[in-house]
Amino acid sequence: MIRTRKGVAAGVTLAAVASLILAGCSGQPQPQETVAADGPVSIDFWYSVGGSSADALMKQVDAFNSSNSFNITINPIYQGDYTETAAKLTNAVQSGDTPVLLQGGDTFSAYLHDSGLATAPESVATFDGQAYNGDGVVAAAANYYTFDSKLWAVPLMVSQPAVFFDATKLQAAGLSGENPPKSIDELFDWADKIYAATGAAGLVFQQNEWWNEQFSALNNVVYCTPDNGLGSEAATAFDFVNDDLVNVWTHYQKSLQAGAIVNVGSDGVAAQNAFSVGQAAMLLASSASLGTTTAAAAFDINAFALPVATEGGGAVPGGSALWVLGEGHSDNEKAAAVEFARFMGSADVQRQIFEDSGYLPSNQEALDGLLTSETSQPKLALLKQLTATAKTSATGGCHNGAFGQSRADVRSAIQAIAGGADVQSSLENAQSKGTDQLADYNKRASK
Amino acid sequence: MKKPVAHIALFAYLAVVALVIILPLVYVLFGSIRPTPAITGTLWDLLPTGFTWDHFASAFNRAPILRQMLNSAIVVVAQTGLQVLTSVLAAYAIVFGNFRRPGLILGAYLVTMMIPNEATVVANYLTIRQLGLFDTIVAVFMPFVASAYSIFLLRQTFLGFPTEIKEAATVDGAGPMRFLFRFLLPLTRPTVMTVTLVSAIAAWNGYLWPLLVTESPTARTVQVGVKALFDEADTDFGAGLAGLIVVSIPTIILVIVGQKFLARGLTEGAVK
Repeated sequence: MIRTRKGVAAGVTLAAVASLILAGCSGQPQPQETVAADGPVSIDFWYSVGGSSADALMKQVDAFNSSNSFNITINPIYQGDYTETAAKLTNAVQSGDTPVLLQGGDTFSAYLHDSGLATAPESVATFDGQAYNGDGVVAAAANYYTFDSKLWAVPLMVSQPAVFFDATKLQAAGLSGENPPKSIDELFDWADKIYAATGAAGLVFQQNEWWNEQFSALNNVVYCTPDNGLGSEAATAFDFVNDDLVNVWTHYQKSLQAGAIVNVGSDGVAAQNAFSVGQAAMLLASSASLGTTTAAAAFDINAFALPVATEGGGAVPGGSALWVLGEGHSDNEKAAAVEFARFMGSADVQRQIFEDSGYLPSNQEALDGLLTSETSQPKLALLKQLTATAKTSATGGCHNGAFGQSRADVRSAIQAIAGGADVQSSLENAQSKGTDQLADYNKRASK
Repeated sequence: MKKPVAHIALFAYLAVVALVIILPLVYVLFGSIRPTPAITGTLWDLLPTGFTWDHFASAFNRAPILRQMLNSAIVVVAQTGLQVLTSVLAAYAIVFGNFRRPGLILGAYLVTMMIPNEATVVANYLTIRQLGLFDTIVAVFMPFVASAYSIFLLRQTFLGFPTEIKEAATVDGAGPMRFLFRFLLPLTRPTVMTVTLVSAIAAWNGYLWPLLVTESPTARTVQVGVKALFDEADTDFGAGLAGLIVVSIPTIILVIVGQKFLARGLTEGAVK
């Protein structure tokens, strides 16, 4: 299974680079002011969520189809998870059958932007003559999809990592979620204290490269340079090895070996389960896991934001966004796509998606409203964290087209650290490999 | 004295193995009929807390599972049938075709096994598009109607076929087709069965390719349909588990009905 997934990932990377070269970096066409809405227009929308999240999404697609005044019909097509959708898109690029609307996973953003397939919604001529305005998008969410000062996608289903905890277990160690730790290092101190006081582990989280990126952003340090790839220049090197990060992973290694942090390997579901059954007092996980853990746990789950060590730092938001893939599509189709993007990003729709699926709202008005009406402590903590997240290059997250393999290398480094390997050299090795891959990608993509 | 102890030990061992095998199935079954939340990730989920068909209704609402099961069945029959037919004919030609360098022909087939699927998927996708077969069931099985692996397996078996029987059949007036279907295949049934099973399982389990070449829910196979019932951020897996139960029913029925034949097939040739 692992071999197959690796193979798929490798295939996707190869195909992505190939299609990137084919697609070229064509300039965005100059939009007309207004597009005449002549007759019905039907457009394809590729989406990548299943289960109840898909129910929440389809509810809004149906609402748009029955309520829009431009005779637009959205044809939603499920294309598997984000990786599989990426695989399908790279195939579709070759045959010129790309959809005009795509729900893109966060890590696929650099490719969609670099390939020239995407069109920034604000550059598309619309039916009503009003250009798309992204001012209403929550700053932290917009930050992730803003390249060179332009919003390239409308955040659709937003998630952000946080710390979930069992207040009773914290209390037993004389700790309180009301006064959360001030840094990840202090969070690991908490895990040690809980273990010393109760004999049970204090913290659990999966060994995943995502945490390396998050810990770096919390220190207000960009993960790749320059500017995390979000400025006018593409990222050319990874830059995550520093004293702070080495100290954090060294602390992790010690706490893991002592039993204060549970070792669940790279399995995220195992981490959630370990927390839900009371094996650990705290869980470091995405906001998307709140629903599952709440359903499973026999205790009340509380949450606090990821501790921000340096001003300007914060948790990098993830999830998915709605991309308009203008390349090869008519003005009418693009205008219809932007109309749908506007609808999906609106306050009412984002509030409803939050209530139906648990994904955080990407609309500021919806977020403000929920901050006053939401009564659940963990949900409120997540909403407050999203509001408070600074809009800096660090919190925008690293964006580059060679992230796939380099992420796998960082994951291996974290697994090696968990197994007792030297922290500094493991991270340096992953960083150097990643930078080589990045240079190779930039060369092939003529960046 | 020794015998009862050995029996008890054997019984205990078999009971544990049976439990290990059946536990995940029971877990999924219970999860599909438990009221929300369907599962909590612990063994407590095996204790009934109520009964509901809601998850099944939800699964059928999210994807046309029955139609997709029919599609999968068509794909399995077509892909397996055509693959076994082409493989048998190719292997027969290589072994009994009197070619000057049959090894070269086999080598040409084997070379295709050394190209990873990921490398050919784009070309196959474009071919299917150009043939106008995109979003049809035919597109799902078309690239798999020939298999170098099956040809290789059958060729190895045919090589060991006694030449005396072949000569006797020829003397008795059997032509190539009569020899193939009346003598060769019945006498190499275990290998043919293996090739058929491997092909059928691959056809049933196919996921990425059917996902790539189909779009409308009614043209998709059940593996793709079931995947749509799950999500990483899901709070309730009930509908997904109900979907899994539905798609496993045909397999369970097949095993119950065919276990006698399966057991015979597996042991055939073990004792001569």
